[in-house]
Amino acid sequence: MIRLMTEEQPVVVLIDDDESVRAAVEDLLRSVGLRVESFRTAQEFLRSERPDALGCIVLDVRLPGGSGLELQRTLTESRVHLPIIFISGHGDIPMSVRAMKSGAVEFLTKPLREQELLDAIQVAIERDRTRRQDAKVVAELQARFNTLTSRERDVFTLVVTGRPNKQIAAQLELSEMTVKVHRSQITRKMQAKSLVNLVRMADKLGVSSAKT
Amino acid sequence: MKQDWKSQLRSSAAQSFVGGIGLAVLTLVCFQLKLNLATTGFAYLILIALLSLMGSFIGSFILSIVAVGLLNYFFAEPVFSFRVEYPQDVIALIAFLTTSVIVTGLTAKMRKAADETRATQKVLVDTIPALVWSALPDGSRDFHSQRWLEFTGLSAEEATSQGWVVHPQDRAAVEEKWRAAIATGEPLEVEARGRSAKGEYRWFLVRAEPLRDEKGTIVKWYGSNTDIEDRKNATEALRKSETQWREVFEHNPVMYFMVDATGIVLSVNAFGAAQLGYTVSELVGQSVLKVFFEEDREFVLRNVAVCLENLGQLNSWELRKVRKDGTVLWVRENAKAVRRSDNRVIVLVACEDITEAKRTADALRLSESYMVHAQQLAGVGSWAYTSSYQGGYWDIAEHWSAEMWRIADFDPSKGYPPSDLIFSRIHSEDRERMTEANTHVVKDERSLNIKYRYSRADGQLRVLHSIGALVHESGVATRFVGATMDITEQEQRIEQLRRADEELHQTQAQLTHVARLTTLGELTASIAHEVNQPLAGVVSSGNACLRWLASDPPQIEKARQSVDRIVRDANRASEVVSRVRSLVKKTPPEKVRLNINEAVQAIIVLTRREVEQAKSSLTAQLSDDVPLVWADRIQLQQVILNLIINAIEAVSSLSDGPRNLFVSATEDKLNGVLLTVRDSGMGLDPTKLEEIFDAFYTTKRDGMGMGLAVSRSIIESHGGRLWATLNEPRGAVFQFTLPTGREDAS
Repeated sequence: MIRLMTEEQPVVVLIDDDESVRAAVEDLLRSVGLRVESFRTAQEFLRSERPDALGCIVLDVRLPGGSGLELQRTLTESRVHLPIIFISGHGDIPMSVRAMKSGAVEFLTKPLREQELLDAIQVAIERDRTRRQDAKVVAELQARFNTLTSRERDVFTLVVTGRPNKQIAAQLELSEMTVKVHRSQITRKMQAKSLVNLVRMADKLGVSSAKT
Repeated sequence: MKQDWKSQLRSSAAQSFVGGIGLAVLTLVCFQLKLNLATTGFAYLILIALLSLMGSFIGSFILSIVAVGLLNYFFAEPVFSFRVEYPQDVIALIAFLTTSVIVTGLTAKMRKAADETRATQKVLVDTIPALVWSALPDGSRDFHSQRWLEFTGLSAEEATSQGWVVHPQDRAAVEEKWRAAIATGEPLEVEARGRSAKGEYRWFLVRAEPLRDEKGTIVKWYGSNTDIEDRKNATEALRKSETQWREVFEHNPVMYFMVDATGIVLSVNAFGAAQLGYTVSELVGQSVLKVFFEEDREFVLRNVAVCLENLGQLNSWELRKVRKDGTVLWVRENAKAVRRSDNRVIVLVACEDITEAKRTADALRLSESYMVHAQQLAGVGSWAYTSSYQGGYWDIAEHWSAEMWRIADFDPSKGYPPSDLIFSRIHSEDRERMTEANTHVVKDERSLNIKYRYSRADGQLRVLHSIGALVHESGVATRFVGATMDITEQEQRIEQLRRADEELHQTQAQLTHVARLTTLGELTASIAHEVNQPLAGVVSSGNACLRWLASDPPQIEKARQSVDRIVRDANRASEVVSRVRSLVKKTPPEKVRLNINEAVQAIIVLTRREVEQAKSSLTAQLSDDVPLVWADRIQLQQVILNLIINAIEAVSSLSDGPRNLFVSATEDKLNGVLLTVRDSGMGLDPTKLEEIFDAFYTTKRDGMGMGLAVSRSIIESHGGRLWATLNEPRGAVFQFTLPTGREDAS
């Protein structure tokens, strides 16, 4: 409890059109000390102006005005990365497979087993926390990356592919010396400790040499 | 006679007195003049003769003796003595006396004869059965007979002065004729009414003839009034009677012919001739045969021959006559031959047109025979009963038609069977009803309408249907008339039909049930969901509750709220289950008054998931004031469910466009309730708007094709109508009506 208080309080977003289910699950989650925000439909949730807090979504597969799976897609498109736990009155296998493939944490059928739900929520929150930390790192790296000049970015892309300076110079039609200077600048700006470190950063940033 | 004698005595006394004075005067005169015996004797004789005219013979005789005595005393010598001096004087005296007696005797005899004549005349006049009178040439009356006076009640003087009283209407005519008669001397003859003493008028024939002297001058009129009242009345009566009889003869709607033995028409009445299109003169003198239908003439001759052989015997026959224009008529002739006073034999014929009667009779006979046939064909017998006393049972049979005898299976030759015998043939279980029905007829004058089992003489059981009603005459029931039908076969057929109908109903019910289960099958997922949702709620709330209780300190209030929710959700689940179960249950249809909105709402709940899954939206517009309908809830919901599922399926296959569903229940002025299910789906083939209601018609891959067929049969069995139309701009509209009344078309 104390740990949770000091840390960022996770929020469970519950989306279910059935009032009984919504009320019961909300009650259950509160009884274990979770913060719950519930919505009747996906649209309601999307329209709500809420801060992007740590948490997860418990989502009914069948919803009026668009299924849970569709909402999942929409959320991804609108860069909402909250992990999703699907709940369904009568889930079938193809649907659960599809849900899991598109990144769902868990696919639970009603009536919900308390432990399964709570476990899934725990997992989801953990996953969100991790994702958020990762995202923070990436954001830092991105900020560093943004300080690079365009020439430095070009060099960066080639460096992380593990090519020697000579090759890079040839490819970019620069002198080897210039490449070396850029390379040291990059390492400094990106605060990389080693090439390996730099390559990992590039991974996280999603920088690839493919397009160049 | 005594009267006679008295008057005679009176006249004799008068005669003697006058004679005495006359003699005395004469004696004195003659004595003074010193007339001699002979002269005086003549003078005496003349006096006595004159006196004898007014008196009786006795009186004259006494006067004669007295006169002889006077002659002797005063004129025969010696004077003043009855002694006679001269014998010639004695002779003279004797001659005087003799002459005097003879003269007075003759006079008396003559007078007597005259009296007798007068008396005879008077008797004659008074005996004539007429009122006799006479008048002077100037017309003034001078004599009226006793009868005249008696009739008029007038005295002779009154009669002479004022005449008789003629009826005012006749007076002018009588006076004119009388004046004319007097003026011309022509005899008078006039009929007039004269007034009697009693004031009555009677008819008289007044006749008068003038009496003329040698020179032809009228000296007197003699008249008689003959009472012709009775004759006149008789004549009038006769005239009337004759006119009447002539009328009867001529215009009686019977043709009368008088024909001689050879068949020549002697006379025919005007009606008879007119009926045949002839005038009387065209027939008289002609052979009567010409008015007969040619084929019947032989027959006529034979019949007339029979009449002539049997004088006075009435014969009648029917045959055809021909009119002048050739048309034929049927007549009935009554004829008899009679011998007339002139010894001639004639045939009298009265002939009546019976064409119409014959036609009516034929028609009646025909219609009777038709009725007999019709009754036989229809198996209907007719009957009529009367009662032995007013208010009693109608137990005296008056009429049974031939078919009635056949149905009741009795022998007509043995007469009407008694009521208790008929009653004993009625099936024992039906007798009480029959008695009751008959009592109602007697006591309440109700009509009879009863079906009952009846065993024929051979024991075969038949089903009969009797209907009857009382016939009233001047407000009193006088007859009980009715008909009895043998409905055995009909009843059997009805029973068969009833069974077939029952089987059909069972089959229909089964089909309806199967169709309902099929429809529900399509809803399995939704139903499961509907049950699962509240159950999910229950489980979660239960878990929550446990946790609230387990927390430290236990959160009792929170736990209670959880339990409340558990109860609510469990009820909700249970409701869904029972709702579904009622639809699945196989119960016989039971119509109740129900609000269609509730039925619609229940179905909307069941199909909610389906609607959502079809990504469609359902709008319900349930008017609050819809009238209650008389329907079986399950069947009605089955129809609504079917229509909504069809609508959902219609929109779920759409690739674009809105997926709208619309349900409404409104009051329909004409038929009660109008329910509409509208979708924006694929729509219907406009040429198959009726075909879709056929059984096994389906557009679904795995459909049975029973849904709409069953729905329609359900709605129609509720007295409503189900039909489909096209929606604008796209989709289909299904509508049904339900009457509010308790109409049960099934």
